[in-house]
This record gives sequence, C-alpha cells and structure tokens, in this order.
Amino acid sequence: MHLAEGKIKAYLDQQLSLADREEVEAHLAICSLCQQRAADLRSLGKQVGQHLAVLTSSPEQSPTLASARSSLQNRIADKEKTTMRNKIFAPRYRPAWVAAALILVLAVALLFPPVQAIANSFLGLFRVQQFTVVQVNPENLPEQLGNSAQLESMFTNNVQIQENGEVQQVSSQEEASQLAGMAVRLPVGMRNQPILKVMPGAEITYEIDLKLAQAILNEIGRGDIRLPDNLDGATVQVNLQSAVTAMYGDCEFNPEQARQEGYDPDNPRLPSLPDCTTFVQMPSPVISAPPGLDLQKIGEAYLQVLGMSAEEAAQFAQTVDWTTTLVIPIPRYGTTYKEVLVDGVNGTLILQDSEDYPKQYLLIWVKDSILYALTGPGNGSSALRVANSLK
Amino acid sequence: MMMSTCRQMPRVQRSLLTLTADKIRSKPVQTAEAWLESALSQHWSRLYAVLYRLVGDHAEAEDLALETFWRLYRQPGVMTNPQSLSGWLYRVAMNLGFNALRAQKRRQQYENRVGRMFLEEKSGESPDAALEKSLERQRVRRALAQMKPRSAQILILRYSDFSYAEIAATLGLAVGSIGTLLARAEGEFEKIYSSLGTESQEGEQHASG
Repeated sequence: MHLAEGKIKAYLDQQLSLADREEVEAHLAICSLCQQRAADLRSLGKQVGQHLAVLTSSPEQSPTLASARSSLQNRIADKEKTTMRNKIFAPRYRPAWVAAALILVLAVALLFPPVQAIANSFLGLFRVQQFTVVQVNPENLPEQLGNSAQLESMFTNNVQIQENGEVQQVSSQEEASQLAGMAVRLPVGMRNQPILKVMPGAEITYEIDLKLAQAILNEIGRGDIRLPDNLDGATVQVNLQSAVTAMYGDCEFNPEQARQEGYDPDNPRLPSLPDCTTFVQMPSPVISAPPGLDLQKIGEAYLQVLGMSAEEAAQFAQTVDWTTTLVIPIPRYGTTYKEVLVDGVNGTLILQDSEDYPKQYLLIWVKDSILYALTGPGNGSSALRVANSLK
Repeated sequence: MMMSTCRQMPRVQRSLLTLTADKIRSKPVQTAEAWLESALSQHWSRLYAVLYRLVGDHAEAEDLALETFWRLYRQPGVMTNPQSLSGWLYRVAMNLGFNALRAQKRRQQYENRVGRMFLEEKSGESPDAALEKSLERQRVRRALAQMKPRSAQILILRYSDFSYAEIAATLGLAVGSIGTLLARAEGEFEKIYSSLGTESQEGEQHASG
C-alpha cells in the first residue's frame, strides 16, 4: 500500500501531525516508489516556489496600518453616502428589472451594469418585435455611467413605475396561463419539474427632461451627443404585461451567501448557476410615444453612448427599424451571437464564451407578439432542442 | 429573476446591517468600529501582502484590501465571530483579487507599453533586467489567471505561508484534501506557465508594434 500523493505533499510541507509524520517516514524508508514521488513533488514545489517568488513585494512599500486606518475611514464615509443614494433609488428602479429588463438583461448584457441602465431607459422607445444585436467595446463605454448621480435622479424623478401586484408562484401550466392571461408554453422532455412564477405587469411612465438628459451625457463625458429638441417634455409610456418564468434545475440563488463570498450585489458577475435553465415569456411590451419623435435620432444617440462614433451610429441607425426593434448591446469580447431558426421564426442565439466565466447561452425570439427568452449553461447546443419542444 | 433579486438586496442588507450594527453598538463591551479596528490591526499587512502578490500593483492591492475591510464593516455578524473572521476576510480578498487579475489580462497590452516607458525612465536597475523581471511577473500572473480559480487560490495562499488548516478554512475545504489539491495546482501552474513561454514574447512584439 503506497502513500497518497496528498499525504506526501503535506509531509513535505510539514503539515502533518506527529503520528502521521512518523507513519510517512517509516514508509518512505522502505519504499523506493514513494521516495521517487516525494522527490518529484519536492522538485515541482521548488520550481513553483521559484516562479512565484517574483511576485513578492518589499515590506517598506506596503501602506502602514495608520494610513490603512485613515483610508478605510474615508471609504466608509464615502460609501455610506452612496449607499444612502442607492437606497432611495433602488425601490423605484426595481420593478423595471422584474419585468422588462428580465428579458434583455438576464443574460445578455450581464457584463455591464451601465449598459443595462441605458438600455432600460431607452427601452421605452421601442415596440419590440425583433432583436438586433450590436457589439460594443466595454472600453469605449463611459466609465462614469455606472455611478452617474444624474442618471439616478432621472430614474427617481422622471420615471414612474406602477407595478400591478406581486410575483406569484404557481403549480401548473394552466394556472400560469390563467394568471398571466396568455397561453403559456413550456418545453417538453426536461429532466426536472419547473418552478413557475408569474411576474406582475407594470406601467412605466417616463417624462423626458431634455436638460437633464443632456446633463447626464455631459456627466458621462459625452456632451458631444446631441438629442433632438422636440424630445423635451415628451411622455413615453411602456406597458408591460405579466411575464412567466419557468426555472429548471438548481436555480436557487442565495444572495446572502453570494455576498458573504465577496460577490458585489451591484456587480452582476455573480456565481453562475451551472445547472439552471430559465425560460421566460411575456407579451411584447407596448410602448406609446408621442408622434413626431425622431426615433432614429434617439437611436443614434443610444448607439453613441454605447461607444459608436457619430458616423457609425448614423449608418447603423439607418438599418434598424426603431419602432419595432430592440437593439441589445453585447460585449465585443467574450460574446458571440448568431441568427438561428427557432420555433419557426428567426431568433438570436447569444453565447458568452469568454474563458473567464462559465459558458452560458441566451436564445431570444418573438413569435405571435410574445417575447421568449431561454437561458442556460453551456454552448447552446441544447437550446434549440428545448425551444423547439415548446407546447 | 436573478438580477431582480440582487437589486433588491441593498435595501434588505441595509436594514439587516443597521439592525445588527445597533445590536453590537448597544453592547458596552465592543462596538463595530472596535471590531473593525482589531481585525484591521491583526490582518492588514498579511491581507495586503496576499493581494499584492496576486495583482502586483500597490495602489490596486491597497484598494482591494480596503474594499475587503469595508465589506467586513458592513458584515458585523462576521466580525464578532473570530473563528469565521479570518477565513471570511481572505476568501473575500481572494475573490476580489482574482476578479482584478482577470481584468488585468485585458489591460495587458496597454500596460506592456506603459511599463516599458516607465522602466526606461527608472534608474538603478538596468532597463533590460527590469523589463525582463516585469515580463516574468506578467507571465506568472497570466498563468495564475488561466488556472482554475480554486487551484490558483490554493497556490497563492500556500505561497503566502498559509498553513493547510488556514487554506482549508479560507476556501471552505477539508484539511485532508489540501495536500492533493495543492500538488495538483502546482502541476497545473507549471504546465500553463511553460506553455506561456513562447507566447508571451509574441505578445510583447505585438504590443510594441
């Protein structure tokens, strides 16, 4: 019986109890194979140690405890302020996440909070019948976007959200259909029983304050982007009907635990759920905006905020029917997409295949005025099968 | 769904925090500030050293270390439990550090250029030797960033002189499994490290071109 590798390693690292150490020594004395393994492990460890040695720092360069103490006090004071602001801001903002953002934010732009904020604020201008994907370079995004106080103030003062009820868990497809007021479809042949939830509809009213909007652009360093003048005072209404989500597998996300582990709740790079497939469906949001609003110009501004130059934006904006298309920003790196035939219509399959994060897919399509989104782990090979099995 | 849950969190968190913080404050023995101070004096230099080893930049390591302690401040429950405190601190620091390390990978080309300009100005060390050392550091960090996160964390902790028991407490693993995991991590590191040998030179040429 030979020694386990881990035990030899622990022995070399002097991490064994006296009894274990004696046992290992006794065996090593008589076993040449284990001696060889120990020698190999020792030289591997030495090599790694040499390589990692370049990473050490000289102690005199480290910040002293006293300076750490005062920096920490400052940070606490600063963050208290921000947290207070978030507190005021979050409750009103939240319902938008529950329904509308669910579709476009769930997995697509997961990588950037700023884009989500922008996408949401502009969502009011689209009547979604189709999706177009635009690739953005994260480095071109205005950094200040995520903590723009003006943007927060816009959501607080100019966006009103009325949610019609609470999220309800239901036990069957029929019940979900009844509660949501649409014929709910579910995939057939899934391994698990779904957890079904019906999200309430909501009405979002957004009164455009041109000055404020321009101030936001200034704040994020894009004062060069011009918004059409007739935007001022226009009221945009988004009507979201109930959405139904079906979750398969292990989808319990424990925010408390995640936060404990150091994941930032405001940074959406959360632990992935390796065995969770989510399927969302909702009637296309109905958006009413005053006639005469130059959607193409607004679209151009949107694209510029996402990092396009004015020329690029103008060119791209022409190719999009802004009254029916939701333009989804996806990061240029680590994300790919393709058009696919799904459920008898054209859909978009977006893959997050950056080596830094677990692979995830998002498949979105619109059929008979219902928006569908399917997201799960992996490269999407199973996505089409699931999507095409809907009943 | 996931996102909505998170967005709701700050509110809930806040009220929980206030609640717990008040409870602690009402105790005459020790306030949240005092707990934080004791954690800071006990762990600051080691935490900083681990983070520096990982990210290789003083300002960034300091920022991440402060962030870790700030999060601790918001978690009075953790602070008052000395057994879980140390594990929690280093776990959080590790997560933050690795996120930063991955982000660095994307910044690398830029840094290559800046680093070179900086090194050329630096006196004392010969530019070539300094550059070589900097490239070497980069190579090590890139290898770490490419490893499985848990393996890389074990490696960093061990080479920051953490005992097996401390590593186990930090990463939530069994002490008995650390030897095996560490040996495996070392093998993984060397494999990736040597595969980066030629590649990093190409990267350098690319960045300077």
